[in-house]
Amino acid sequence: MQPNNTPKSATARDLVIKLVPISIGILLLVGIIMETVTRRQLESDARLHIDSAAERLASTLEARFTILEESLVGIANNEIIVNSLIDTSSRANLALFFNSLRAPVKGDSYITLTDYKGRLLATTSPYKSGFSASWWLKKVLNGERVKIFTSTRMIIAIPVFYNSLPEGILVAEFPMDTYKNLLLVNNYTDDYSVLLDETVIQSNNIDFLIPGTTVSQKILQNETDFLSGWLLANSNIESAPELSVVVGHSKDHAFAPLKNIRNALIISGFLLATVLVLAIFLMLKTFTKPLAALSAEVRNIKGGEDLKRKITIAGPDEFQSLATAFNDMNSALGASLVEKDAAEAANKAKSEFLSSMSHELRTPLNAILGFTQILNTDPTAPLNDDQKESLHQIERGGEHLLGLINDILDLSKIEAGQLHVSMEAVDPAPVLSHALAITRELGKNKNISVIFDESSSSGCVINVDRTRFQQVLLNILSNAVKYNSDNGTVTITLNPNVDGFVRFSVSDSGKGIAPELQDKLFVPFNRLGAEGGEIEGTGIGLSITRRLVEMMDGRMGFESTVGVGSTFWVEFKQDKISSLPKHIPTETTDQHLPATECIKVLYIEDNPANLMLMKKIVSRIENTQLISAHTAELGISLAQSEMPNIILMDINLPGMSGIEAMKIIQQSETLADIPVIAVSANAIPSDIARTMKAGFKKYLTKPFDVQAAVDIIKKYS
Amino acid sequence: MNKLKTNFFAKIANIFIASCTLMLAGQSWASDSALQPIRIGLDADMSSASAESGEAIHRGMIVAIDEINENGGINGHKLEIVVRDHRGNPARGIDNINEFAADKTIVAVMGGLHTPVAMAELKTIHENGLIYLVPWAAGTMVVDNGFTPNNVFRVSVRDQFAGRFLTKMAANNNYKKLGLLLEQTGWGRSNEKAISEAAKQIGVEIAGVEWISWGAKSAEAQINSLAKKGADVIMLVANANEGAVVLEGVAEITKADRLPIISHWGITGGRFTQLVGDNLNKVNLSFLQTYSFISPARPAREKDFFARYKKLFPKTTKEDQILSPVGTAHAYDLVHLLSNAIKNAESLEIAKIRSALENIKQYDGLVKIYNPPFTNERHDALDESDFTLAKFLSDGSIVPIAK
Repeated sequence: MQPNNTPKSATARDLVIKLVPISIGILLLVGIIMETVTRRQLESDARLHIDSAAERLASTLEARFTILEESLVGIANNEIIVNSLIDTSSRANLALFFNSLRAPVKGDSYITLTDYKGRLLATTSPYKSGFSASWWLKKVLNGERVKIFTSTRMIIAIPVFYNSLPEGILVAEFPMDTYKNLLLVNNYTDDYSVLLDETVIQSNNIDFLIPGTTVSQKILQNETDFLSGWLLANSNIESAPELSVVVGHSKDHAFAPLKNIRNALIISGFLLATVLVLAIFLMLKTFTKPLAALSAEVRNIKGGEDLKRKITIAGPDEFQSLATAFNDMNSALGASLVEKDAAEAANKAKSEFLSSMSHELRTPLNAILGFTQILNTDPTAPLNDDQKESLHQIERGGEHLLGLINDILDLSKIEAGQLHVSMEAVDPAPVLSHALAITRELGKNKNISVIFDESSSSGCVINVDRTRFQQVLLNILSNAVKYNSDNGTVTITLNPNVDGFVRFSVSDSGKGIAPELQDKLFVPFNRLGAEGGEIEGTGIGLSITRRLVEMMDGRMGFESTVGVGSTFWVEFKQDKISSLPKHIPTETTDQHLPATECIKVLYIEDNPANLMLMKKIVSRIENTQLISAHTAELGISLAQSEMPNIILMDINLPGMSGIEAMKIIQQSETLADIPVIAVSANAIPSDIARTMKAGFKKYLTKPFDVQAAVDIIKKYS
Repeated sequence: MNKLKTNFFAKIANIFIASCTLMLAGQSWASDSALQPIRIGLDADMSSASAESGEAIHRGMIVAIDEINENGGINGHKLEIVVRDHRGNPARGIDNINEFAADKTIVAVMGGLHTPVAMAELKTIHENGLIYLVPWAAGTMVVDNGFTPNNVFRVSVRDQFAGRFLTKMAANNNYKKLGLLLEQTGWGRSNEKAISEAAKQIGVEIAGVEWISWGAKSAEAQINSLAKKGADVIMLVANANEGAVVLEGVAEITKADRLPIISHWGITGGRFTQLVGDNLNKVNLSFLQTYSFISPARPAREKDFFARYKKLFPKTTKEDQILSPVGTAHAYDLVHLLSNAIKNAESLEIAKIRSALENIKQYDGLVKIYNPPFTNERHDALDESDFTLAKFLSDGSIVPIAK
C-alpha cells in the first residue's frame, strides 16, 4: 500500500465489501435454517392437526350414521312393524305410520318395509318398488344392518326380527340431496370434503374441493400437482367404507407465520447491514486514524538519530500503550544499534587490518622467497654449500612466515564466518595418496616411514569439500611428521562404516601429549610448550583443522600416551554413493611458444623488489622481454605503444587500481585481446573473485612460486 | 353314420322318458311299474316361536305314514313328507307353497298353526290345485274361504265354534264380563267376531277388546285397560310368545286382582311353559284342547298310536311327553284321511282326491270316529262337541279339566 493513499477510505470500502455480504450471507443461512426448521415444525403441527381433524370428522359422521341407524333399528323393532309382517291388514296403515315418524334428516327420505325376500310390503316412496334384486339382501337376511352409499342415494337396511329371526327388512332411503345434508357439519373450522369412493359429494368449502371432483389416492398422498397447495389428511368412516373424509389445510395458511419470519429477517438484515456499515466507519474513525498517524510517524523513523525521536502518544488506551511500547523499543533499539555499529566498526577494522597486514607482509615475502629461488636455481652463478645452507635458512624462515600468515588469515576468515565449504562426493583415495606423497617428502629429513594400506581406501566415498579435506589431512599428517621422533613411523588407517562415517586415523610414534595438556590442544596459539623447541609451528593448525572438520559435518579427536605416541583421527560422512568414476586429472597441455618471435611481457608493478624479481624470472624465459610501468596509467599507455603479448598487473597500485585499469584495457579496441594476469598480495578469496570478474585471465598470489609464474607467462603469452 | 344313429336313438329315449314324466306330471294314476312315492308337503313353523306345533304336526304325519307305508302304502305308492319352514311368516308360507306346486309329486300340503299364514296361502294353493290339509290353524275363514271348489280340509278347531265354546266356558265359570285380548292378525279378528257373537247369544258382556302385536314385549297396557273396564276374565287369543307376555303381565298384578285367563289353544304351539316359568302357577289359566293322550277319547287306538310313536321317537317314554297333542293327533288323522281318499279316488287328480275326501263314509280316527269326516258342504271335521278345556301341569304337560 502506498503510504500516501488515504488508508481509511480504502480499508472502509474493503471492510464493507467483505463484511456486509458475509453478514448478510450468514443471516441468509440462518434465515434458511430457521425457515426450514419452522416450516417442518409448522407442517408437522398442521399435519397433526388435520390428521386428528379428519379422524374427528370421520367419527362425527360415524356417530351421525350410528344415530340414524339406531333410530331405524328402533322402528324395525317396533311391534307394529313386526306385526305387519304377519298381518296383511295392518300394512295399510304403515305408510301413515312411517310418515308420522320425525324425519331424521332434513330433506326427502323414504321408508319401506319388505318381506324377508325384499318384496314390497309398505312404503312411503313414490317409486313403490321393493328390493328383491338388491345384492345386500342376503346380508340383511343374515341379520346384518347394511348401509349403502351410491351417487344417487344412501340406503340403510335393517332386518326386522321376530323371535330373534329376521323375517322382514326395513329400508330407509335418503336421496343424495338429503344424505349430503347429513355429511355437512356446520361450524367445522377446517376445510373438508366427503368422498364417495373417489368422488367428492360434499364439501364445506368449494375453494377446497367442488362436489363432483375426482380425488384419487395419488392426489390424497399429495403426489400430484392437484391440491399441491394443501396439506391433506383423510380418514375412513368405519361403518361406511364407501365414504371417506378429506381434511385440507391450505399451505398458504399453514405457512403464514413463515412470511413474518421472512419479513423480520429481511428487516433485521437491512438493520444489521446498516449497523455494520456504521460500526465499520466508527471503528475506522476510532482506530484507523490514530493507527495511520502512528504508522506515519513510525515510517518516518529511518534509523540512526531518528531512533531518539519519540512518537506522539494519543488515541485510545491501546494505541497509547502501543506508542509507549514503541518508544521504549525504539530507544532500546537505538542503544543497541550504537553498540552494534561500534562492534561492526571494530570488526571491520580488524578485517581491514588483517587484510592489509596480509597484503603488506606478502609483498616483501614475495621478494624474499622469489629471490631465494632465483639465487638457488641460478645456473650462471652456482652457490657453494655454505651459501646454499644460508639460503635454505632464509627460504625456511620465509615459508614459515607465509604459513603463519595463511593460517592467521584462515582463522580470521573462519571467525568472521567468511569461510565457506562446498560439499561434494569425494573419493578420498587420490587426495590421500597426494597427501601421503607430500608427507613422505616431509618425513625424509627425519627418516620417518609412512605406512598406509592403500587398498583399504578403495570403494568408499565421503561427503566433503575437496580442498579443505586435503588441507585437514595434510595438517594432521604434517603434525605427525613434525612431532615424531627420528626414525619414527606414521601410520594411517582408514575405517569405513563407523556408524555412517569414514574414519581416518593418523598415528605417530612421538613422545605423546601429557594428559594435563590435552585439554588445551585445540586452543589457538597454544603450542603446549613446543614454543621454545626446534619444531616450527604457529599453534593454530589444529584449531583450524578442527573448525574445518566441523564445518564439513565431520568429527575430530585424538588419543595419546606419553612415550608411545599420539593418534589423531577425523571422520567424515560417508556419501550415499558407494563409488565414483575415477578422477582423471585433465592434463594441461603446454602451449609451445613460437621460438622465433620475441615475446613482450608488460608488468605493471609499483614495488621495485617485486619488479626486479619478475625481471629475473622473465630473463630466464627464452625470447621474452619484460617491459614495466609503476602506475596503471603508465602501464596502459605503454601497452598501447608496445602491444605486449601478456600483461601482468598488480592490483593495489597508487592512483588508478589494477581493476580500473583492466576496465580501460577491456574497452580499448587494441588492448582488449591481450591476456591480463593479476599479480597481487591480496589472498582474500572474496577479493580474488571480485578481481577475476573484472576480466583477468588468471590470479597470481604473492608470494608466488617462480616456476608457477614462468608457467603462466608461457601459457598465456 | 354311427354317431347319427346313436343320436337318433338317444332322441327316441329322451322323448320316451319325457312322456313318462309328463304322464306323472298330469297326476294320472301311475302305472304299476312306476311306483313313484306320493309326497305331502309340510308347511309350518319349524323354527320360530311356534316351532313345537310344527314338530308335533310333523311327528303325527310321520307316525301315520309309517303305518301306511308299513301296510303297503297307497296301492303300492309310498308316502313321503317334504318339510318347509314358514316361521309363522305368511311371505315364507306363500314361497313354500309355490315350491311345493313346482314339485308335481306333491298332491297335498299340510299346513301349520298359523291362521294368518294359511289365509295368505289360500290363493296360491288354489291356483296351483293343491289339497290343503289343516291340522291346527283355526281361523273360520281358512275353511270358509270363498274358493270354489274348496281344496281346504281341516281336522281342527274352527274359531266360530271355539269362540262359542270358550264363551260358554266363561259363562259356566260365572264370568260375566269378558275382556278380549287378541293377537293383531286375521286369527285374532276371527275370534273377536266369534266370541262377540257367542257372547251376545249366551248373554255375557264384552268388557273390552284389546289387541297384541306379534313381537310385543309387554301387554301391561292392554291388561290394565281390560281390568279398568271391569273384565273379570281375559279371553286370550294368541300364540306361545305373545301368550307368555300376557300371562306374565297378569302375574305381575297383585294376587287378589289377578284376572283368570281362558285361552284359545295357540299358546300350546310353542315353548309357552318354558317362557312363563313359575308365573304359570300364579295365574288361573285354562285353554281349549281337542285331544289328550293322557285321557284319550279312544284308548285302544291311542295305545297303538303311542306304541308306534315311541318306536319312532324313542326319547318320548310317556304320553304326557308328546308335544302339542292336538297338532299330533290332528295331523295323524288327516294323513290317514288323505290316504284313504287317494285310495278311494285311485287317482292323483285334485278333483278326484277332493271328491274322495268329501265322500269318505267313515273313518276310525285317533281323535274320534269321523262319520263322515267331510262332506261337500262341510270341510271341518271337528265341532264344539270335540272341545274340552285343559290346563298345564307345572312340568308342561297338558291335562284336560273334567267337564
